[in-house]
Amino acid sequence: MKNLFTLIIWAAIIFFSQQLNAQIQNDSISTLIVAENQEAELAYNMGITNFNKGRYEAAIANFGEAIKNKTNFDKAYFNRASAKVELGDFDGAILDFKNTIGINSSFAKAHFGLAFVYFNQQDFDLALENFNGAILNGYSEANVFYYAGVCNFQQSKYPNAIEQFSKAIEKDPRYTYAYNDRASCKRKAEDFEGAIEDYTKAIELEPEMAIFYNNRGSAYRKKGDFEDAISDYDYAISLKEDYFVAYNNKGTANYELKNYKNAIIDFEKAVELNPEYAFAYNNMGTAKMKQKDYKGAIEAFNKAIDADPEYNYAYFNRGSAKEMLRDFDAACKDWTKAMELGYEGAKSLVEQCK
Amino acid sequence: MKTILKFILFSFSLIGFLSVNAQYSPKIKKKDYKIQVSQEDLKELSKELRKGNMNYNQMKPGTYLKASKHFLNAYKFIQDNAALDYKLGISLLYSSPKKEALDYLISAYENNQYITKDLNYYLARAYHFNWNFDKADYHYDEYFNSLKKSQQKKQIHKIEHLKKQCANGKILVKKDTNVIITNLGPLINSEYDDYNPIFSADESEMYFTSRRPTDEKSRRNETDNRFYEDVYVTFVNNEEKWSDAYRVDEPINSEYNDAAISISMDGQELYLYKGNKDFGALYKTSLKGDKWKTPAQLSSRFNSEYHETSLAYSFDGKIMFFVSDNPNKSIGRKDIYSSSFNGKKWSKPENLGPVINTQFDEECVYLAPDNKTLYFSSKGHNSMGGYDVFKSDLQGNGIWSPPVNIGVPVNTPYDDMFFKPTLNGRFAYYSSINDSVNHGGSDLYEIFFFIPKPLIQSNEDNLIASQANPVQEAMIEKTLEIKTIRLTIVEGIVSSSTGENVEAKIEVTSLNTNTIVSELSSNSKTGKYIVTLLPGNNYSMNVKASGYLFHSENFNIPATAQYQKIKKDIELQKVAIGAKVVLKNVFFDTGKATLSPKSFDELEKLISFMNENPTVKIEIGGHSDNIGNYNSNLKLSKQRAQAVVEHLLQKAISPDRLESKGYSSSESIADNKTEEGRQKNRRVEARITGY
Repeated sequence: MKNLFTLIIWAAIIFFSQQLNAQIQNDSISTLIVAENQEAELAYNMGITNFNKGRYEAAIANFGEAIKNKTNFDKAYFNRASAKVELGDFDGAILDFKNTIGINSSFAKAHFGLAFVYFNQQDFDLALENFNGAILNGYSEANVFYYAGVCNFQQSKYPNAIEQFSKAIEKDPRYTYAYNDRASCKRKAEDFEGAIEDYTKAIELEPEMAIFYNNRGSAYRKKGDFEDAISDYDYAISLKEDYFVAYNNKGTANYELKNYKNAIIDFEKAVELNPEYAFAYNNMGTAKMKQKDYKGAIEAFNKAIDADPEYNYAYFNRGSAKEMLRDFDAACKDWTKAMELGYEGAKSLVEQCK
Repeated sequence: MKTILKFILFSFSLIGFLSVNAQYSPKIKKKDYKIQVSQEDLKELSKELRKGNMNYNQMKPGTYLKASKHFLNAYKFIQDNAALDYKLGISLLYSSPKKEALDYLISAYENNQYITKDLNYYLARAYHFNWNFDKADYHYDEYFNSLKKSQQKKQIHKIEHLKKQCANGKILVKKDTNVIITNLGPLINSEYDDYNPIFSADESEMYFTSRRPTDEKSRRNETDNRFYEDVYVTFVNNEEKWSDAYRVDEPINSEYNDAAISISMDGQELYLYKGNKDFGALYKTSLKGDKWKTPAQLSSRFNSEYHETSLAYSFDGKIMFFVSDNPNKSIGRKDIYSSSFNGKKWSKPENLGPVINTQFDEECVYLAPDNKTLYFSSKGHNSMGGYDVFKSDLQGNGIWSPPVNIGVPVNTPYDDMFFKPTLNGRFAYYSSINDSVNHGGSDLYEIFFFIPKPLIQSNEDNLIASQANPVQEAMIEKTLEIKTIRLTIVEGIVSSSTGENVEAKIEVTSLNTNTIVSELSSNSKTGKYIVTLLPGNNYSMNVKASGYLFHSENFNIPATAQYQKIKKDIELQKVAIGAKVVLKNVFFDTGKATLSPKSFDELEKLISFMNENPTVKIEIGGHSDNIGNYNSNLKLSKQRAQAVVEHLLQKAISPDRLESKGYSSSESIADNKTEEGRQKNRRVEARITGY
């Protein structure tokens, strides 16, 4: 699981950079007349050149030079923050964004940039506060509403999130991500019909996005329409052949249809694509339990635990499989471990073990 | 007439629906053979058909089994013959495996659906046994509609009952219960009917009844042409598996019907049904060493001139349940009755009433040790065919709750009977014809109840399109609660200090209610004893044998205690100078030398020991732990010993036989560093100082 987390962070950084590249204060300051004290502006312009060429450390030095010569140079602070983001120095970036705002509190892009760093650090409270700051200061791109929506989603405030996504869509009616995420909010609030409608809208606008099909499939699955779910998962997979998440979900839909044989085939495909995919091993184990293949189930749970030693549900399930083989002591050990790893549902069983 | 009836009756007979329909015997004609049969084969075929027909026409379960074997041989030569298909199907339906009758009856139906008037009925039966309730229902209707009005009147109740069973089956199969059923295997089960497993509390031994032949000389009963009932036994071996079952010797078994129907918790008493030469009745016997005493007939209360079969006692032995077909008091044919013991005699048996008993048969009564859960088998209620196992709880108002069918896969369209849960509530044994594995006829099965647990799946989706990490979710199934019986089993061996096993009297008293809850003896040969205790009580256990100083134990079982087994071997000391016993059930008020009234029972045991051994002199010694001042402990321990002596003096024990002494913590028997050890050290001992 740890590896996966690192992966997520890096993916976020890359994405983040793409967002900010567009944000950097790219208009260089005119230097036609070099007056006495134009050192700051010269350094600033050099910084922009270096930044655009990807020489971020040099750019940071340039912007620093500019700030040294002109202490209230808000744009230089802002650009230095952006360069620091590129290098992954988020703490440094936060400081510089804050300095920018300190000098010029209505610098909307600085609010946005600061919000984005917090967002990246999963601090959704501070992120939301600063996205709102950006909006308040006149930042009105669709994406600020979108990100504010995502913050609300992460805080499980689904009605607020829906409101923000709707504003994003109002600003940009082709904003497929906003449709997708609004659908996800509705799904979380168990409004599956509404979710399916929004996912469908996203699909209509961008029919090649595999994740939209997967997500709509899961909304169908939650609603109990397993056949529709499977057909969406299949389409998602046809668009994205290595989409192991969709294979895992398809397996669960087949499991729900009591079609355990096919479910196992799907889970096997998922782990073939991602041999570290603990979820699919675990789910494969549950399907094998339904087939009364308890030994096979234990093997699958073992692999799930190998892939993620902190996976409480896999311990819990493995305990249940061991119980079926009458290995009560081993079952109790697994349930205890599941409880220690935070699965409350194991508590009553552990008590009965005594 | 009645005595003859008794003679032919078994403790339990699987004849089911035989009595009602007398089926046809269509001729298997040569001209209907659809294939060419050689001269030599023709001879063989004729022989098989002749033997098959001969057995078939006797219409008895035993002869049907033989007929089915001959017809199967004949079937190798001629297939697609409606008459043979029909007869083979019927022979299997009336013997075993019933399930396999279906293919032949379908074939008969396809070849000539008018071969007999009752083909639809038997086809329905075969579908019913194959769990195909829809088709069974269809053919029951077809059969009924083909009958004349006068016949319909006679058969309507039976057909309605069978159709209702099909409807029940369709509902019951939808619910899967959390059990695993395992056939006990060929070491236990035979190709004949094996049923009624009974076992002691520690599940170390199991008795059951079988209709297998003992040897080549085994006799068949004339009524059904099958072998007589005999009692078999199996023991748990070193690998925790049931050993090869064998026939129990006389006096348990005789040349007629002998069935074991109930066993006491400690395995020392056995209840039998014996169909002797001129009487069928319930008997009781007990174990002396490794030999069973001659069985004695139970009181006439439970042995009427009718047929009494199943028998079950409540945990405390004060209520008895049994099954009788006594028509004077019954609702259906066989009903469940109960009687209670008031300390002197058993009350007049009473029918359990219409909540439990139906107009159909009830059988196989068993009361769980919680004294509240009744298990029995019934052909009525919502049975899906034959007998099904039902459960009913005794409610607070003293009324039994409406019986609940314990469901599939325990219950089947066959007879599902003699359901008995083990004390830890995790297993049960019963007899049935469960499809998966069957050795012929009814077999014994073990049922494992697993607590329903959710299977948890993990899924994730790309709920947030802008983030690479999918959002995770767990899918958790709903869970159900099951009740388990929380008993404590105390078992062990009583021996003397010189090593030989002792037959001792064991008395268990509840100190909360001051009543005796159990009286038993350890086995004279093995010294083994088993005591079962309900939670929520403080118990004293007194073990005594002539020539030995008695031994006392205390078991405090909290109400929250789970099922547990406690191993407690007891060593009795011969009456001799220096022999001593810790009086574990003598209690004082905290920090005082005042005897708690809870101690009187134990002191009574000491007094009777003194009276039975009039020359014995004893010293009562008070002991403390090492917490606190040695001298004040010395004073308290002396005072406590003296309080016991005073009590004995009041009870007319001569003062020259008694002395008291305080020891403080000078003679610790356990580690004073732990609370457990200190508790052991705080004690009163009786030591023999002369005799």
